[in-house]
Amino acid sequence: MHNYASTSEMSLAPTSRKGMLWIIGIFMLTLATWSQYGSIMDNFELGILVGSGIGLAALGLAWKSVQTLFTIVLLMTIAGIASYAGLGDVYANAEKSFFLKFLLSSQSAIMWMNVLFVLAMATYFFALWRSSEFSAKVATGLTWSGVAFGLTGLGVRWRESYLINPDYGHIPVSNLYEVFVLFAIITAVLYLYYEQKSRTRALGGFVLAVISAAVMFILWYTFGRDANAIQPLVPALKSYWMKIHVPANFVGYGTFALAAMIAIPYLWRNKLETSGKTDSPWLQRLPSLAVMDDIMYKAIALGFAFFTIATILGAMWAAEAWGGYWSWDPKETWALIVWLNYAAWLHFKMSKGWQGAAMAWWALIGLVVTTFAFLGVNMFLSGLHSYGTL
Amino acid sequence: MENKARLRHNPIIVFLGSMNLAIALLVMLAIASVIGTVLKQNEAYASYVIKFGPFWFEVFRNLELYDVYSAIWFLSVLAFLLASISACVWRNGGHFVRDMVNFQEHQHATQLTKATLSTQWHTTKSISETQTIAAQTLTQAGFKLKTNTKEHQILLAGKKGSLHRMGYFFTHIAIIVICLGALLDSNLKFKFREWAGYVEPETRSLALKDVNPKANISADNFAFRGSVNIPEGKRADVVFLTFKDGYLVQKLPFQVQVIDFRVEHYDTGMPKSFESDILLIDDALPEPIKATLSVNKPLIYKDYAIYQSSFGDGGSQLTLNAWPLLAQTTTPTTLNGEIHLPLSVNTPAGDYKIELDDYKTNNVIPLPDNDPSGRKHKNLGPSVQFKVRDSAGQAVEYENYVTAIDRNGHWYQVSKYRHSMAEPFEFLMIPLDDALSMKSFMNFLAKVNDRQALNAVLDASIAQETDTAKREELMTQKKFMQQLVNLFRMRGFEGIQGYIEQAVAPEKREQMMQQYVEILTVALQGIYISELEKQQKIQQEISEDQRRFFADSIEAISQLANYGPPMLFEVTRVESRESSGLQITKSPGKNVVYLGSFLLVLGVFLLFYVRPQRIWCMILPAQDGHTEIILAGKDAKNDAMMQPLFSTITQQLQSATSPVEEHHHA
Repeated sequence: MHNYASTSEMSLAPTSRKGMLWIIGIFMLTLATWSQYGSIMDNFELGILVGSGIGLAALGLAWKSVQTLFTIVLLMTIAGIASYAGLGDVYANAEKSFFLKFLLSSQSAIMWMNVLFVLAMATYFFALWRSSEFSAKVATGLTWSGVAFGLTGLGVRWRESYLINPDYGHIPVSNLYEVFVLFAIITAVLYLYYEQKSRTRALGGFVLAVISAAVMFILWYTFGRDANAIQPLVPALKSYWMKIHVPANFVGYGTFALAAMIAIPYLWRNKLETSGKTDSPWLQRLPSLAVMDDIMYKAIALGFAFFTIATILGAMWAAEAWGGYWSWDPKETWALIVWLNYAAWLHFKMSKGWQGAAMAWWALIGLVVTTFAFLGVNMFLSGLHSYGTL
Repeated sequence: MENKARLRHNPIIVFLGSMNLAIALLVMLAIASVIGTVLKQNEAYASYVIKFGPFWFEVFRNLELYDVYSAIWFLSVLAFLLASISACVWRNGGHFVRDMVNFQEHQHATQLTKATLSTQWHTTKSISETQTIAAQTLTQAGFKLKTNTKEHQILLAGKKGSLHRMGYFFTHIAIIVICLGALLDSNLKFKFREWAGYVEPETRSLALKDVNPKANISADNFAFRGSVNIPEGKRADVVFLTFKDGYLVQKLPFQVQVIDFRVEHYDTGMPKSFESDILLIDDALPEPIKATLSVNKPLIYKDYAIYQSSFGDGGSQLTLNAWPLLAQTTTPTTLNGEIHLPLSVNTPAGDYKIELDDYKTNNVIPLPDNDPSGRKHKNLGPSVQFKVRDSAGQAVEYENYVTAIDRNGHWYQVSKYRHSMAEPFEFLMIPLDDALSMKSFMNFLAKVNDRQALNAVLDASIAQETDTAKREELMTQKKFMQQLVNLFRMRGFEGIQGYIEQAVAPEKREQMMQQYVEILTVALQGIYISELEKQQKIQQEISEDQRRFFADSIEAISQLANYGPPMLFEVTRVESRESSGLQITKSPGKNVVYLGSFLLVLGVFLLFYVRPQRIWCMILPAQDGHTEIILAGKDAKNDAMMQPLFSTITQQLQSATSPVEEHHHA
């Protein structure tokens, strides 16, 4: 079992040569980004750039896999952007380039992400069913690849928005299609983190199932609604706040979804154990209740921390854009409801030491509340947050 | 001290501070919040009556569901929650503080050996040597130490992560701070003053001077959030606060003048940005402040923040041509109007009120992907939205485009209309002549309206006919043609269809309709051609364009039956004046809320990511002249979490003290 206190010590420990290389690399990249785009950034955006650099460097030190992932995503994104540059920076020319058309344009990369995540889910379940360590490793590989393609897709999409029309240019976290992609990526990354830390691949299928549900939504949204097109931003969204408010929120949504999905094998195992089926092969395959309980707690704690920050950032943005930090707008109110729900969950966990099936059920039901806040509000309620209407 | 302790165990405090109550209150808060999002808040009371019926409207109103978040019961839940959290902090506070500062340095050897994380061994090192080594090792591992020497035995008591407890204080106090900050900015004070009879919302739409004086709030009010629309060139020194089913008028200690308002659009027609140049005039200032407001970029002046929040029409000046649709003349009446000001028209067909609702400067529509122009969007230009209401109160809604619109290379004047909000708009497309005027159409329409004109045309064609048999036939058809044209004019093709459906068997209807339309076309064509001849616009044969003009005209005339009041408004001149929607707030609670938020985040991280852990190292003389070491550890939540650290420390200490003997416990 791992503990967070020692994780933070780990990052403070003297860094290895490879770690130094990573820090220098991120520093150079931040500098390069600044020299390239500094002229169109305001001070806040510069702050976000520096903050992202520092955050990424720290994340890479604390979790080595991020270094590899980021390097690959960076290379793929640069390849995508360079391909556009080679075709005269004309968005429509993506059709003319094999690599863009089938691999690196945002639509293609995101489609690859979709496919890889669904494949990963199937492979994880297959591996669980056959207790196949090899298949499980393949599933992990598929998930990492899906993440890489998803991030590349968003990176290239960011560039594409400027190619279509410099007026449209914005970070791709502005509508329901884009945040669904973000949700899939963040949930997958969080899952991969806990998979490494708790050294079990048995839970992958369950978590990838919620990601696959998001993928289904993306597909329906793309083919049923043509909602994948890049749209310009409404004036209210034109703010540096969007760059931090939205991703912070999705760390919250991602972890809550993850915790809910872990609750399913938890309840399953719990049922097997309490009903005395000690000879069930699934008991061998699934991790112990304690491990799953631990992941659920850690995920919800992390998500709660990020959701708190995201809601506060949202309030600060609202104060600047709408003239009040709190308007009881449906999205705000539902964010509060989600927050209250997990605050209560954490109280029972931390103060009363509750665990077991009740907490797992609660984490699972939490997903319903979270989904409503994320999606239902946009579908059924109108308000100030009506950017992502279905 | 004893009093305090007794107070902590007071049943009321215990009840208030219990977590079960707190959780119950959280749940109530969540449910109330749900109601507020499902039931649209702060709408006009009339619309609630329509939605729920008078009975439920009254029930919901008494439950204050139309403004849940400032309902007395909602605020009571919040107040209870605050009391509960305060009681909880009060009850646990002392205990937590003591736990934070206490090193628990009075543990006995037996207690230590019974701990889950515990180990003991002997060393040949002296007691003081061992103490130095142990102190060094434990300090390096991050523990703060306190030494307790009792006779020959030394106890090093260490703790780390005490800030975890501060997390508890920070998070819970943060909630109290945030709520108090929000309370400062809330409209609770208005509710109180309304209850005391000093304040009363105004529900009518009135000029400022006529507003109920009790709805006026003086400029010294310390917190508010209101909005005001200011047309370009105008100034305002009040904002309007929504309150219950009406509004309050908040006086400002300064004036805001909107000099210019600008809106930019994307090529999709979506607004890209909007901004206002404003002048803030305050007697206290040597000269007015000039500023440009835009979304996400407010102006902060003293404690006030001024935001760009919306825009609309600020009373554009219009000149309209009202073309009569049932008359036999073709002279339009000229009217002058202003957006938002109703206009009265008296016509032979009745008296009407024209409600000029809005002037839109842009109407961008998407084009199909393969449009020959290669563009994705097309701007249809400006339009005026208005309603025409008859004396019975029935209204038809219109949107008329100001400029001519081309379709497949031909020009039309377009008017959209509908009879109820639930219907989609229908398009009336009036064909324009070469001078891009409606004059030719109106001329034709006037002749269709004029029975004598039709009569003359028919007579002329009968006179031209030389064959007597055919002449007889035409004579008998004449009356029928007149009736048909009249039916068509009054009720359109639909009217003819309806007539056939009443009079003819189903299997013959289609054929009959075809015949009727042919006869109708002959009649109307006669009128059209005679009109063309009169204007000498006809060469040997009528041209393709004239044919099309005729077909379009017939189509348009057929639609007129359903168009509403018999007049068509053409916008001939617009002097656009926009208005800027500003929101002005004074929010002393904002920084309090931010302080609370900061505490909350800090507290959350301390609670989740700082683990309170303790360690004890007891050093005592063993019987054989050696030194005995008892090492024990404790994690506040879960000892298993401390296991790795405890093992590391044990190893380090053991190798530094080279043990001669080892006893493992647990």
